[in-house]
Amino acid sequence: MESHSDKELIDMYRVPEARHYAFSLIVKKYQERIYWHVRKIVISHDDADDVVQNTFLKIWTGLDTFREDSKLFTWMYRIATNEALNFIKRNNKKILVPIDSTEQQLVHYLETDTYIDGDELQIKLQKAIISLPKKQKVVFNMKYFEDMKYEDMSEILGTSVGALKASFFHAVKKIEKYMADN
Amino acid sequence: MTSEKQPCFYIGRINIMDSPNFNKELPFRVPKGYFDKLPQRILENCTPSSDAKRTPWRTVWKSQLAFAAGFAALAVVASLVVIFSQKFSAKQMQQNNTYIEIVGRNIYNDSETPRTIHERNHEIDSLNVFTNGMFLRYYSPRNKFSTICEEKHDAHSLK
Repeated sequence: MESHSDKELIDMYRVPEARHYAFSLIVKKYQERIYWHVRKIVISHDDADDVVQNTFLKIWTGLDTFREDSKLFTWMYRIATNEALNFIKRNNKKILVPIDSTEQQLVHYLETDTYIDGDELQIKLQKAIISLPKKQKVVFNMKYFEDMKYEDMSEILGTSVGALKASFFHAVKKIEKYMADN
Repeated sequence: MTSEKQPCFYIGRINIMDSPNFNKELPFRVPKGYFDKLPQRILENCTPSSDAKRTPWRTVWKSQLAFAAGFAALAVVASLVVIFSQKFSAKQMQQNNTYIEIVGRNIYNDSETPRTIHERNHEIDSLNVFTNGMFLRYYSPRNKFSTICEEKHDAHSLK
């Protein structure tokens, strides 16, 4: 498939006849990045699937108002991050079974979800990440797994680069401690 | 790849940030062909009239049920309003008729009549007593006055 730049895709989207086609190209270009970003937050595949669909629906309806003073992918990531975190928040309120916290629920998914098959160390690392506060969790995932630039993370999360570096540092320290203690 | 220096991150003795041996892959997988089908599933929801949020079917069902319940309640209230308004208008008509009757047949031959009616505070036959059986007058008592609503000769008293 021919690869289009974000600028080309946005320009194409603004032509009414090409709108749907342009959006299909955007989905194909970013679906996997968005999915894995969301999946790391919500853990369960089914939940990630729901969140990804809602995310792209919001992207579809919001693209008209997208201003090109930010990058397309950081804008999409911001929507996906908010959707994923809000999903967890909403889901936590709906829990009827006696699970103490969001953390335990996510660990439960990690141990029971059909679509999880990592080795012991990978699972242990995921449990350590789950134990982090939500912002540190997102920062750690973006930096460690995606090697994302702090400047891009700053655009996505609306936090200064310095604060992000501090978050990542604290996250690493907590994960080290978790790995040593467990 | 970023050129920014990252903190050391050890698992056991391995610094996983630097070690190429540590697998950064996630322990997650997706159903077979998931990413081939996902665009189509997403695009099916993205019609020109799409809302900003995909609404779960449970929410749709609940909102439709709420709408139906609301409509039923509105229908019941409307029916009650119609029934009561019909009764009221019938009563009003009756009262209007009575009123027309009053206007048409008010008789104040005697300046003492209203006062007498008040004093005696009877609905019927008070005037009969006052007029010594010559007339039988019916009236309706009001807040501050009494209105004679019908007058007829009492055939028996005229005899």
